[in-house]
Order: sequence, then C-alpha cells, then structure tokens
Amino acid sequence: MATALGGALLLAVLATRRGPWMPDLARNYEALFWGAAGLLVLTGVGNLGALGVVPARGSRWGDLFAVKIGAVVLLLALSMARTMAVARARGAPSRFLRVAYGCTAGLLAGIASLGVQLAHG
Amino acid sequence: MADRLLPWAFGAFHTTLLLGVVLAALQWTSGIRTALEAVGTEAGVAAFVLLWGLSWLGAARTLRDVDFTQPADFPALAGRAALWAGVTGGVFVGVVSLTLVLLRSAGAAGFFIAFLGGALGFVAGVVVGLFLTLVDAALLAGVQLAGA
Repeated sequence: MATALGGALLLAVLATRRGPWMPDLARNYEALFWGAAGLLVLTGVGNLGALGVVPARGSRWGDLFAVKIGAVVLLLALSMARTMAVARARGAPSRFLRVAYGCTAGLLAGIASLGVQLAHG
Repeated sequence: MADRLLPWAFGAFHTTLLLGVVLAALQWTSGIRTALEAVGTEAGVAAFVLLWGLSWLGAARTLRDVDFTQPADFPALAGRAALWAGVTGGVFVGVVSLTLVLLRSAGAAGFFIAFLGGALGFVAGVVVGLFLTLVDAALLAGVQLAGA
C-alpha cells in the first residue's frame, strides 16, 4: 500500500511540475503498482478468510465492504488505463496522466480508509 | 520496458479484476463465507498465484510483437487473446482438478474428470478472455479519446 500510494502521490506531483518528465520512473512505478495490487488483493481476501468474519449483506459493515470492492474494481480499471497511457507516452505527461495519478492516489487513500473502518467494525 | 510492462500489467489486472468480480457476486448472494471456508487460505493463495502466473504468460503470448503505439488488427488480437485465455483457463482448472484428484486418490476416473475439467476450463477461459478483451479495448479507447 505504501509503495502504491506513495508512488502515485510522487508521480502526481512530478506530472504537474514544469520540467523534464521521467518516463522510466513512471514505467517502474507501473510495474511496482501491479505487483502491489496483486499482493493487496491476495492478502485482503486471505485476511477475510483467515479471520472468518464476513460482512453481512444489508448491514452497515456489509455496505462499507461492498463500497470497498467497488472502489477496488474502479481503481483497477483506472490503473490499467493509466498503464496503457504510460506505455504509449512520448515526451511530457498528458493531462490524462496528471489526472490519473491524482485519482489513483485519492482512490488508494479512500480504500485504505475504508479498510480501517472495516477493521474497527 | 513497455514491452515487458504491459503483459505484467494485463496479467495482474485480469487476475485481480476477476477475483474482485467474483467477490462482488459472492457478497451479493451472501455466499462469501461458504466459499472462503471451502477453499482455505493456503489453497486460495496457491490458486491465485497460479492464475496470476498463467495470466501473465498468456498476456505475454498475446501481446508478442504488438506495438501499443500503433493501431492494431483488433479481430486478430482478440482471437489471440481468446485462445491464450482459453489455455490459461484450461491449465488452471486442469491443475486444480488434478490436484484434487491426487489428494483424494480418485483413481483413473478421477484423471478423466480432471481432463474434462481442463476442457471446460478452456471453454470458460475463452469466454472470459473475450469479455476481458472488450474491457481492455474499452479502456484503451478511453485513453485514446483522452488524448493520452
């Protein structure tokens, strides 16, 4: 989570600055992001199973969990679009990439916040 | 870097997206607890890692020689994607089925069932692969529309 969120924040800042863009940094982040995403999903589901406590549908906890899953799916879709934009990028970052990195950081922070709320019941 | 980046990204994206959709469906039907108890943590991790690895390899085969900055022959690419998704599904279900057969000492009939599972997994993989190809194409269209 630290890698994914911290990297997105860094790239969001770098993409909005005037000055040389670092495409290799962006590509390295994308590679790390997808490794982190796989691990986060794997450990998230693993925790759900290992703890044996599943949010019941219709409860507040269940609604929060459903929102979290929806946010994760949205993050994954946005991230794939962002990665494709990085793969196609030539030169300075596009407006799409600037917005995408900001949205990625925001979504990750939101998902982490939902996780904390779920963990505290 | 881009040539190795996209297969890695697509492999992870498809695997995590599939799991997310399955979880959402299970939560909708209130079947998460039953499903998680049936699978178990170690088996679930092994299955996820297997599917992730297979998806990565399938994406690498599909995207071989594809230049992402140039327009692609979409039907040909979709066909290749569906084929390798089928291989991914077939190998995944086949390995899982074979593992269950060996663990339960099911004999010759068990091996036939594992083979059948692999064949069904191939068909399911093709269908899922076509769906994911449409998702990927929609995302790429969005990226192109956004001028990126």
